[in-house]
Order: sequence, then structure tokens, then C-alpha cells
Amino acid sequence: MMTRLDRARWFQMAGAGFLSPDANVLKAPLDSLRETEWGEEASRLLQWLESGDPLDLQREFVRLFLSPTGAVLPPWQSAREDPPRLMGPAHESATRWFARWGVAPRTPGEPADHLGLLLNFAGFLLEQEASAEELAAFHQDHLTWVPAFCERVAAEARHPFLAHLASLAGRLTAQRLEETAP
Amino acid sequence: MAFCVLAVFRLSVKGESLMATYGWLFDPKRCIDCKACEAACKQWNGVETGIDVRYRRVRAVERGEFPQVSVQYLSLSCNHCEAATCLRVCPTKAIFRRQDGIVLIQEETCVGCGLCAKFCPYQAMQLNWQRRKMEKCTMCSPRIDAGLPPACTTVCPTRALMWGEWDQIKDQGVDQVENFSPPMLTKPAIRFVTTEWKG
Amino acid sequence: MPLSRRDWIRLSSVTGAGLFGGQSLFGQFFQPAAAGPSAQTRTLVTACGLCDSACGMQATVTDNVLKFLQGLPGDQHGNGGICAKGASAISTAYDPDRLKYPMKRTNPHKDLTADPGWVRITWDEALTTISQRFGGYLSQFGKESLLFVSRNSPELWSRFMNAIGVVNRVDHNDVCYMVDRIVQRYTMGPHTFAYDFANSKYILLFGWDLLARNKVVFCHQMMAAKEGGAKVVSFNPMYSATARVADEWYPIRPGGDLAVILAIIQVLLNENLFDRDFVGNYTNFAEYEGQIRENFQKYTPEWAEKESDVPAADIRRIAREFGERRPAVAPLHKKTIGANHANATQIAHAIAVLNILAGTIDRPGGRYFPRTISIPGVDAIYPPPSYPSKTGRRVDGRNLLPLAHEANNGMFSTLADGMLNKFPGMIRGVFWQNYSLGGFPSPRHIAEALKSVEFMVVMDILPVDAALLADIVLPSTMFLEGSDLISRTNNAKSPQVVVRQPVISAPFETRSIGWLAVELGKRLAPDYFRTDSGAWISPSVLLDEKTKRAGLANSFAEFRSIGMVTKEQPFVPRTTFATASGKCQIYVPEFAQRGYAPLPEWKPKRDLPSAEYPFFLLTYIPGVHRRNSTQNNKVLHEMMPENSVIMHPSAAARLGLGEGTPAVVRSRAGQITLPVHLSQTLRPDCVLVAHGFGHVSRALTLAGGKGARDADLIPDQTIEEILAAGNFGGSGCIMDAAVAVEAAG
Ligand code: SF4
Ligand code: SF4
Ligand code: SF4
Ligand code: SF4
Repeated sequence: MMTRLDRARWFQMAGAGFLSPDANVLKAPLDSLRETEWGEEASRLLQWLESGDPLDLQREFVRLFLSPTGAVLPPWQSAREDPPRLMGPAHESATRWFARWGVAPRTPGEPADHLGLLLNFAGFLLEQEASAEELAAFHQDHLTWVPAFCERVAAEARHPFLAHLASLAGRLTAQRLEETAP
Repeated sequence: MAFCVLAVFRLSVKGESLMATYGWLFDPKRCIDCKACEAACKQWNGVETGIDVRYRRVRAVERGEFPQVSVQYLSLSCNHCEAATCLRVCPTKAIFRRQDGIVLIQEETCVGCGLCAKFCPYQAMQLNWQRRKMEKCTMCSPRIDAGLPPACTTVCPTRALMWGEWDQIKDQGVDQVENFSPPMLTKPAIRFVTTEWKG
Repeated sequence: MPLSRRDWIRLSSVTGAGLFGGQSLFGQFFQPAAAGPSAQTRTLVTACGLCDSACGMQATVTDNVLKFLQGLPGDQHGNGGICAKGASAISTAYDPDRLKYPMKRTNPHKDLTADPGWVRITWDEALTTISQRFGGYLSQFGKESLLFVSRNSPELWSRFMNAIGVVNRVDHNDVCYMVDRIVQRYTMGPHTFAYDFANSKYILLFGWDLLARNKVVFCHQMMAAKEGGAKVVSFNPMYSATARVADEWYPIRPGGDLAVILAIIQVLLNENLFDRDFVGNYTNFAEYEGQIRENFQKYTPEWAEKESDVPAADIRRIAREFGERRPAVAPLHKKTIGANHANATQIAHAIAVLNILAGTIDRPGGRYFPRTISIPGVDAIYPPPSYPSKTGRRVDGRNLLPLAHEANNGMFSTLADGMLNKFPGMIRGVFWQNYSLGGFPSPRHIAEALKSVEFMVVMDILPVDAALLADIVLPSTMFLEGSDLISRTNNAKSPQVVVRQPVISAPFETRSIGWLAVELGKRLAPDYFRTDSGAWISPSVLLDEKTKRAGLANSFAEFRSIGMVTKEQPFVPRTTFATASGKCQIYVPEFAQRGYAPLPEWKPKRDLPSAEYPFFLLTYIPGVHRRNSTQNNKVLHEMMPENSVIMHPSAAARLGLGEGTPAVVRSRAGQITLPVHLSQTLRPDCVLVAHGFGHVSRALTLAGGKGARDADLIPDQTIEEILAAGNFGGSGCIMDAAVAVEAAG
């Protein structure tokens, strides 16, 4: 089983991938993740990140999450509710979680319940050795929707990096946070 | 039997008569069907959209034939009836009446059977089929507890929809208009202004 | 959840550690912040930005999340109320379909159905690309090569367009109230929509239907009129919330309003029922009395009955009542001037004459000029170098309509003809802001024309249809995120200013059009965007300066907390009017000089029913929607998700149509399919379709593909057609069509 710290780093990498799928941001972290239990996955992600036209990845990222003419799968927790919206209770709850831990997203315009921020923050909680109760609470509040969402992303994505990133994020969140080995 | 329950109920209201109760005063001629009241209710109470649950609903009813046509607008919600039938028929006793007369549903107890809806003459009770619970107007009880009027009345641009202490309202206007079920059965806390425009 | 002691210890270690250094992936996306729960609820004053009622609002905000909007007591426009659109604005702010980041197209093939291949770009790249492309067109092909489909406001934006010398700025005012602006300017002075209904005793409504439009500023004033005992008479082919409060309703034949107004004037003149004092002292009646009397002599109530289906006896009686029950007024508003037909200019003029004869221009109970606090504009605060001349051809041919040209409004209705037929290829770059294709007559022609341009920028709040054809898409803030000083205009016997302030911060990378003006200005016309000290103009410093100079507060920040300033002052009626003669002009010499009729004369509407198209088409804007911009708002969408073709049961029965039957509605411009809705509220020779539906873009998750566009039934125009029809005000005829209806399939 992956160590707590490795898992934390994977969460942060996955979070970053959903915020900014950019070789400049992800190359070094992925390189260092090659040493972890999912080392092979890290290598594959790296390879997909660096091969082909970088524009293809950007285009696909926008088509899936941000398109100004209809995103396929808006990646905010509030937008996965029925009916979808932005800045719903999930945003408010995430804001409270961040504030309790004395942190805030660097991009002030980004709602706090963006998938990437939530995954990244989950990694932070693991890294900070949050108690099992807290991990369980965060998982319950903010990660239960992620596996199903990532499954849809993996199926929809027309770029192997994003498809694979999504299935890894799905695997990460399928296991409850608090069930991480110490 | 129904009469009996009603009588007992009256007594208990009498027992609590020190507490003010609230009600609606609606002036149909001033209503312009703008639905601001509906919208404010949705926003304040966070009522889901897309499942056609509306705690307040503005109805437009056409009558007559062109050109002798007219339209009646009625903005109605739960009337927090003094003799609420919804409350009496609920098999799990999920519906209760606060001291100030506000009729509420206890969500945990509600099983979504819908019996109350069948016995509400005003279509106030609605099934949220996603959550399998009944929902209706709460008279914005948290706002009232905080000393604020209900959300819907704060926006009405023509003052067609008014709200206040029942003692101030109960002798105004009339208790019945066309397309509003007879009030004898449940004693709804709503009155209607029917005076014409002056001039 | 309160912070435990353990949390506090943890926090100090978080901020102390190297977590936020460059190495950490967490630190790249998070930063240290003041710790602890901050859920704090505030109430902020602002002003709605959805319609010109601009109702004052109180916004309840918890931790930068907007929870509730309600009216602002003491506000002259909203009077403490708001409408459903205003109350639901939160759902637009939090619409997941909102435009979020600047994007650029990578698929050069433009089509409403093709994937544009968007990639996200920085604002810097967007600004650089736009200035390079626009700058290139300006120097290579001249000022005429740019088309700005955008309003003339805010003033920073206007300054930017002036600074680069945009020749072709096109707005929707020809399908709105441009004709009224033109007419008012020459008959009584600056444009106003202010009516003192509360003091009126007699109110004549020609198509004026603002209770059904739910423009709050007019709704509560009409209520006050009714409370004060005013008599209200409504002429409208359909019965609506406005007709409902009227004492009399006449289901007038579409286009017949002009005939009735001319006949009322005829009676007022013949029976000398006008306000002799006002007309004698403050109008040019005496100077042109002969021509005026002669002009209207032929318009008898008996003649008008034939054009309007309003009984002559009623017209005569109403005219007498209008003349005798003073003060009397006949308001008009935007495109509901009778309707936006080919004879709208004449209607606006005839209504102006009616109000002048009533003697209520700037008098209690009449149409008056708003009393305002003067707020200096950007050009007064930072005087610009002289603006370049606007040399070049006008793509929509507006230069052939000198009065429209001077008004600097229009022309939606001739734009497609100009781009496709008159000057193909002339327009190279387009800036398109906050407009829907559905706002144009024959939107398909406009879409066709837009495909032909080389480079198009679209800025909006939501993914409007035009975004599908854009090269660059820019995300815009909405009114809840913006700042401004809002003067009361439509109910302003005393001056009042209400603040518009960001009640929530701008989400994602949305920006305001004022900000964009400065940023593009810096790059394309730097001399116009510096202050005396050489610093760039800043929208926030500008706002501070305006607030100070208008005497509202010492800074905008201070005014934000004040919220609203009212200056009670007595209403002193004007004795001179801002026309060339200083008087109200019944006879307009300037019209005569240009070869137009100096007095209103009869003209029919453009498209009349025929054997092929037997019905009048009526369109309306439902009260729960703001034109074509709120259909994706989930609350409003639930109230009215789509439109229908509304018909009288007898007309529908003749065609074998019943409630809910899908029907094809056809005009000479195009066709749409909608379910039938039966109603007794309209004339059997009319068919009624709500405006605002039928958005093509599926990116509007709720509104995309719902209902149909009324505009597909409305013919667009050529400038020649406008001239030939004597439509010298340039009405865009957005409500002028005749249709046939048949069962679909
Ligand atoms: S209106 Fe209907 S739901 Fe409300 S109290 Fe009366 S019976 Fe019950
Ligand atoms: S009182 Fe509150 S819950 Fe009831 S209809 Fe009005 S806004 Fe809705
Ligand atoms: S807000 Fe007032 S006027 Fe508007 S629909 Fe409701 S009750 Fe009628
Ligand atoms: S009438 Fe409605 S849309 Fe217009 S300003 Fe007022 S609240 Fe906003």
C-alpha cells in the first residue's frame, strides 16, 4: 500500500493536472513520482504530456472543462449537483475547509470546489497528517462525487493524458482518505 | 369526526392566544403577474428548480371571450391554515403547527406519501420526487424568527402581496375569491382585497 | 466548526513551513491566508443592471456568496420592489455556463455547428492579438474596416471607439426607441421616459405595455395613478397585465394606432380642447397654426375607425375626455411605440403632438425631463486630445438617414444587407458585445455575414450564439460585479443617485467592458488614455473623481457605504425647451428642411395580411425574461422555458389546430415551428409569439434549442426600402410582419 506521503503527492499532482495540464508545472513532480508505487503510471503520464502537439492537450482540456461554447464536464462540485450551478454549498464548505487550515487558492476568481483544488487540498491534508476523523469528513464533504465524475472524464477524453489522469484520480478517490496507511 | 377534531383544535389555539399569528393579505387587482414573489422565494429558500416545486405560485386564469375577456392573477402559497387538513391526515405526524401558527413539515418524519397534498385544498403541498419528501412554504420561518418579513413580500413591486399579524389582517377584505377553494374547511390565514380602484 | 487548539498549532506550522515555496505543487495553487472561520453576512446596496428601471437593491452576501436580492426602500425607480428578473439575477451570476476565461479559436472553419477548437489564452495574449489585428486593419484598410456591434456605453468604451475612430458602430436602437429619440429631440428636447403618472388624471396607452413587461419603475407609478383616480385607456391588439388595469381596452388593429392618434388630435384641434395657455406660450402652434389645422383636418374619427377598428364614437369621446380631464398624458416606451413598425416615426411624432396639446410637457401629470445631479463624464475629467475624424463608408447605409445618423444609433435591420450585398468584404474585424443574433430581424442573414469576416471578438457573460463564430471570446462581468453611479431618470422629479457596486467579486477571469476599453486604449490609442500626469487612466480613480465632483461623497468607497443620495427639491416647470426655437415644436421645421413631413401624417405599417400571409404577427417580451438574455437563468427558465404560437381559438379551429398542436408559422422572411397555445386575449386576425427564445447555442444548457426565434419571421431591410417607405427615423420594423399558420408535419 502506498505511503501516506506518496499518496499526498499523487493527490497534489492530480489536482494540479486538472487545474493546469502543463509540462512546465507537472514535469518535475511527475519525475519524482516515478519512484512511488505507481511509478509506471507517472512515466506514462510524463510520456503523454511530452509527446505530440501540446496544443492538442490544451484544446482537449478546454473542450472538456472550459469551452465557451459548451464544456462537456464542468469540473466544479456545485456544477455536478442537480440542477448544476456555481458557488453552491460545496463551494462554501470548501472555503471553510481552506480557511480552517489557513490557506486560500491563489486564483481568487476560481470557485473553491474546483476538482483540482479539492484534490490538491486532500493531498495537503494527508501531508499535514490530519486526523482520521478530519480526513473522513473531508472525503465525505468533497470527494464522494469524484470517482463517478472521473469515470466520465476518462470515457469522454480524447487525449490519453487527460483520460489517464482522470482514471488515476478516480482510483485515488475510490479509496477513502482516512484509509491511508500511516 | 372531522368536526370534532376541528373543535379540539380551536380550543388549543385559544389556549395559546397570547402568541401573535401571521397571515397573507392579497389584492388581486394590483398583481401584475410579474412572479417576483416566486423568484424571491426560490432564491431565499434555495428551492430546487427543474422539478416544478414552487412554494409560491402565481396563477393566471382567463375568463370570458374576446373582446370581453379578463384575467385573474392569484399569487398563492401555503396559507398556514388554522384548521390545516394536511396536518390532520399525515399518517406519521410529520406536520406540525408552531405557536405562531406557522405550519411546518418535520423532514425526518415525512415519508413522502403525499396524503397531505391530497387533502390540501390549495395545492401548497408538493412532492420533491428527488428527495422523496413533501415540501411547501414555510412562511420563511427563519426570517420571521430573525424579525424579517417573508422573502416573497419584500420584493412585490405593486404591494399586491402583503403579510402581517393576523389580528391586523383578519378583518380586512373578504375570505374568498373566484378560483380559491372555499375557506370553511381549513380556515386559511389569507384575506383578499376586492375593492375597486377609486375613480 | 470552531477551530480547535490543535488546528491553531497546525496552522502556525503550515505557514512556517516551506509548503508555499516554488517546489511544492500545493504551494503553486494555494497561499497562506488569514485563518479561521469568517462566515459573515453583510447587506450591500446596489442597482439592478438588467433593464432601464435599474431598481435599487439590497444584496445579502455571506462570505462573498450572494444569497438574496431584494428592493431598496426609498429608491425612486424600484420603490422597494424588484421584478422576477432582478430577484433571479443570482442564478445568472452562478450559471455554470458562464464565460470564464479568454479563449481563442484554432479551427479556422467557422460554422454555427463546427467545433471551434478553443484554447485558453491569457488576457495579455488576447489584448495583444486584438490590438494587432484591429490595428492592422485600421492602417491597411481604414476605419471603415472595423465593425463594433456594441452599445455606446459605458463612456470609457465610447472614448475608446472615438479614439480609434470607429465608423461602423452598430446598436439595436433602430429596433428599439431610436425613432422616439429623434422625434423628441426636435419636438421637445432631450430624450426622456419620465412620466408623472401619480398626478395624471387621464392616461392613453398606445401599445405601452410596461406592466406586462414588469418594468418596476413604471409599474408602481401606474399603481399610484390608479390610486389617484386616473382614467387609463389602453389600445393594444392583445389584452395583458396593462390592459387589465385600464378602465377601457380597445383591441386595436396592428398599425392602426397612428390613425387613432391622428384622429384624437383632429378632435382636440377642431373643438379647441387643447391647453391654450401652454400651447400659446410654449409651442410653435401660433406660427404654423394654418398648416397644423389643415394637416389634421382629414383625419376624422370615422376615417380612423376604418384603419383601426376602434369605433369613431369612442375615439371622439376619448379625445374629449383627454382634452378635458387634465393633466393628461400619452406615454410611449421603446419599441412599444404602437409597435416597432414602419410607421413608428410618425407615431412617435403624433404622440409628441398629443402631449404638447395636452400642455403637460414638463408639467405635473405629464412627460417631463428628469432632474438629475450632474456627474461629470470622463472627457470632462480627463479632456482628450481631439478625436480623429470618422471617415469611411457606413456599412448599414445609415448616412442616408441623416437624423438616425445624428442620433448615432442603429442599424440592426440593414446590417446584413450592407455586409453581404452593398459592401462585401469591407468589414474585416468585428467586436461584438452583449448582443444575441436573435435580436436582429432575419438572424440567419447576420450569421451569414459574420462568417465572412476575418476576425471577430465576442465579449459576453454567457455563451451567446455569436460566440460560435468568434475568433476570440472574452468573459464579461455582470452588474452584480460592477461599479457605477446610477442616476434616476424614469422617475426623477427630484435628483437621486444610487450606487452600483460589486456585491460579489468578479469570478474566474471575467473583466468589465470599461477595463477592456482602457487596456485596448493603451495599446491602440495611448494618447487618449493618459491623465495629465502621464499615468494611465484607471477606471477606479475615475469613479472616485466623479463621485467627488458630483458631490456625492469623498470617494467611491465612501459612496458604497452610503448607497443612495436624494436631493429633495421643488419641481419647477421649464419655460424654455431645448429645441432650435426654444419651444415645443408641433410643426418641425427641421424635418421640412430635409424634405420629410413636418407634421405627422398617415402611413400604414409595412407588412399587411394578404391571401398568402393572412395574419398579423405580434411579438412581445414576456415580463419574466430580459429580452433574449435570461432564458438560461434556471429560475426564469422554470417559469417560462419556451415560447408558443398564441392564437384565438376561432382562428386555430379554422386551421384544424388545437392547444399544443405543433404549427408552422411562415412569413416572407422565414418560418418557425412552435406548439399552439389558445387564448381569448388577442384578436382573431393576430398571431402572437414571445421574443427571446430559440437560442442556437447548445452551450446554453437550459435555453439552447428551446422554442423558436420570432426574429426568423421578421424581414430585414435594405436602406432603399426604408427610404422608399418614408421611414425617415429608420425604424427597424422588428415587429412588422404578416404570417401564415398551418399544422406542422
Ligand atoms: S394551505 Fe394546505 S398545506 Fe398549507 S396549512 Fe393549509 S392545508 Fe396545510
Ligand atoms: S413565505 Fe417564504 S417560503 Fe413562503 S412563499 Fe413566501 S418566500 Fe416562499
Ligand atoms: S410579486 Fe406581487 S405583483 Fe408580482 S406576481 Fe407576485 S404578487 Fe403579483
Ligand atoms: S425592473 Fe426588474 S430587471 Fe428592470 S431594473 Fe428592476 S429589477 Fe432589474
